[in-house]
Amino acid sequence: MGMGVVNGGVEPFRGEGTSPAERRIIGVLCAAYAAATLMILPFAADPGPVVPAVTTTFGTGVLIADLCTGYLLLVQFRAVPSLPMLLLAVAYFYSAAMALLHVLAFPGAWIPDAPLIGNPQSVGWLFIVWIVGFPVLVLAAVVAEASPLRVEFARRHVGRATTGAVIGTLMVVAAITLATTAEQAWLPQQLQGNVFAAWGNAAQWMAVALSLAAFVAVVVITRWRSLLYCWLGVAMIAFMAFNALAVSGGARYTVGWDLSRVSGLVSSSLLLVFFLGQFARLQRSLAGALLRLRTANETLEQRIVERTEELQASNRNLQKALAERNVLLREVYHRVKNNLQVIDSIIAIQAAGLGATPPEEVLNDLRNRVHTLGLVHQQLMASDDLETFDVAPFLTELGANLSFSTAGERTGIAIAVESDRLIVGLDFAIPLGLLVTELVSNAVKHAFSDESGRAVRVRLERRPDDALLLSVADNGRGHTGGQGTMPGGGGFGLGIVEALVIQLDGKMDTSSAGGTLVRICIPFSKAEP
Amino acid sequence: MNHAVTCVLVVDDEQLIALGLSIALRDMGFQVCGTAATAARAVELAREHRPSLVLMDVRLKGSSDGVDAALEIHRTTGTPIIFITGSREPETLARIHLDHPADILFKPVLPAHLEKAIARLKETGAI
Repeated sequence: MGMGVVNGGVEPFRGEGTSPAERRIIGVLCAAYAAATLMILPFAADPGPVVPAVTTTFGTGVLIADLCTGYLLLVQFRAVPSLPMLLLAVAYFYSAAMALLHVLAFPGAWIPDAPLIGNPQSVGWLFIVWIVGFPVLVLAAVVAEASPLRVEFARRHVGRATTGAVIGTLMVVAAITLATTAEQAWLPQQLQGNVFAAWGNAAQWMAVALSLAAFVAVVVITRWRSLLYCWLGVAMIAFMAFNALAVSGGARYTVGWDLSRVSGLVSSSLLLVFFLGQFARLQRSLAGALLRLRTANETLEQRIVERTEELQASNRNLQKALAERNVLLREVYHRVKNNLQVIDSIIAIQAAGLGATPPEEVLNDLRNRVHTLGLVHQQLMASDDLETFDVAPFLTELGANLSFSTAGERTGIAIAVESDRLIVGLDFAIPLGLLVTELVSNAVKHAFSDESGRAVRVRLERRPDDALLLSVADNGRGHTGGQGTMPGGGGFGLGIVEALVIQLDGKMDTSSAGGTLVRICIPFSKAEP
Repeated sequence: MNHAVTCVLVVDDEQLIALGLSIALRDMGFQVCGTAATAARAVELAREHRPSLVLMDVRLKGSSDGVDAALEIHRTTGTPIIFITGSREPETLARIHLDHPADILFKPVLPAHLEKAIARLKETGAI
């Protein structure tokens, strides 16, 4: 049947489903309309007001309403090209044309006491052809909705089908006009005065029956599932009442006749009102959608602005970070080169003071110094800020390294390290580390002659007078050769130790009671990163 | 050596580097009239010893750098100055060129580099 099936969302009217509440309202409306009509029928023949303008008003109203409805149904047909829609459009165009002819042929509708076209008999024939033809076409449309009969047109045939339907309708109407208004000696007289002949009444009752049949077809075939057909059903009830009242009234200007015109107008207006209601709903939802769209647009623009600002800020941060990174990298390279120069200098100083030192010992000393530099960088890498670190664990590790990289471990000399916690930077840690390396190496190499209980103690403490005190003590023989250190520098009176002490702005003193004790006092400000 | 070089002043805030350079100079037969770690000390030593050549590091301890010291020494004694720097950055080089450097050497510097630079200066008669 295809009524309740929403066809890809392109059926804005016909495909409108109905809610149970709507179906109930439509049902009650049909029943009430039919009941009201039945209640009026006994009084239909009573004389009613004689208003000649009734026909003009009725005919013109039906003409306009049916024309509009026919046009809208045709629009609907172009959206969903099915045969029922085309037949329905044809039915309303036909009704519009017949309403026009009815007014033109009705005596007194335009000019006093005479029809504009045809003769006094024409209006009767035209009326009968109208009221029988319209429900027949509607019935055909509704029956065509039944699934085995339902025909859909191919898109490319829609234009031709539309044109054909309109031209066909016009040709039929033209033929009817000619047949009823020209010479109608061959047509039986069906008006006696302004009253239908008996078979004319039969024709009107047939129109009542056809309207009822169309209504039943709507109920049976569409099962109230489409709002358009629901209203078409109401229109059929009104059309049935239109004819029943007219035939019961019997003559013009009876109660039945007058009310039949009203019902006819109602019948033709119902689908138009339905369409207008749909338009209003679409209009409302469109306006709502536009409003939402505008709000969404504004939100979107706002978000774009915010996002752009975020991106620009993040870009600026990145550029800043990049610039900082470049500065840092340059700084690192600079320090690497400086350290290489330091290593080169250490080698030069060592070479200048070589004397009779065995080459493997010289090379081992060099490797210890390079390793100390490496250890400082390792501490930096492991630190959180990559710039400073605690000197205590560094000295502990350095002591441990020296205990097995110098002769210490081999010869059973214990190297103990004790240090206060102190956060330092590269510029302090390198000379300090090298100083400890030199002093410990020298102590291990030169301080001991016997084999028992040998120990080297390294201690870094922060004194109350805000000076740092580095002390390296051994319990050896208090050897000759200056201190536990060997002055080098080949003639400059400076060795690595002295150079490092100067580097740290330190003061060094040596005592040799119960071994050698070297004490170096460094201003605390040197250690501050 | 047939040259009129009386002595060389070494300026570097790394004592080990200053010492290493001093040893290199001594091995080339030059006398080192002192080492300085700050710009002020460098100017002071230059006034005192009137060296025929200064080896100048750019980064020094304290607020003034090697270029400040070099400009001052140039002004007072006119001694040619060889800059020794770890940085090849345009900013540093531009700053060095504020003075009229006799030469620029980049760390790490080997004794051979130093010897060549001094030989060039001798050829041009700068020292």
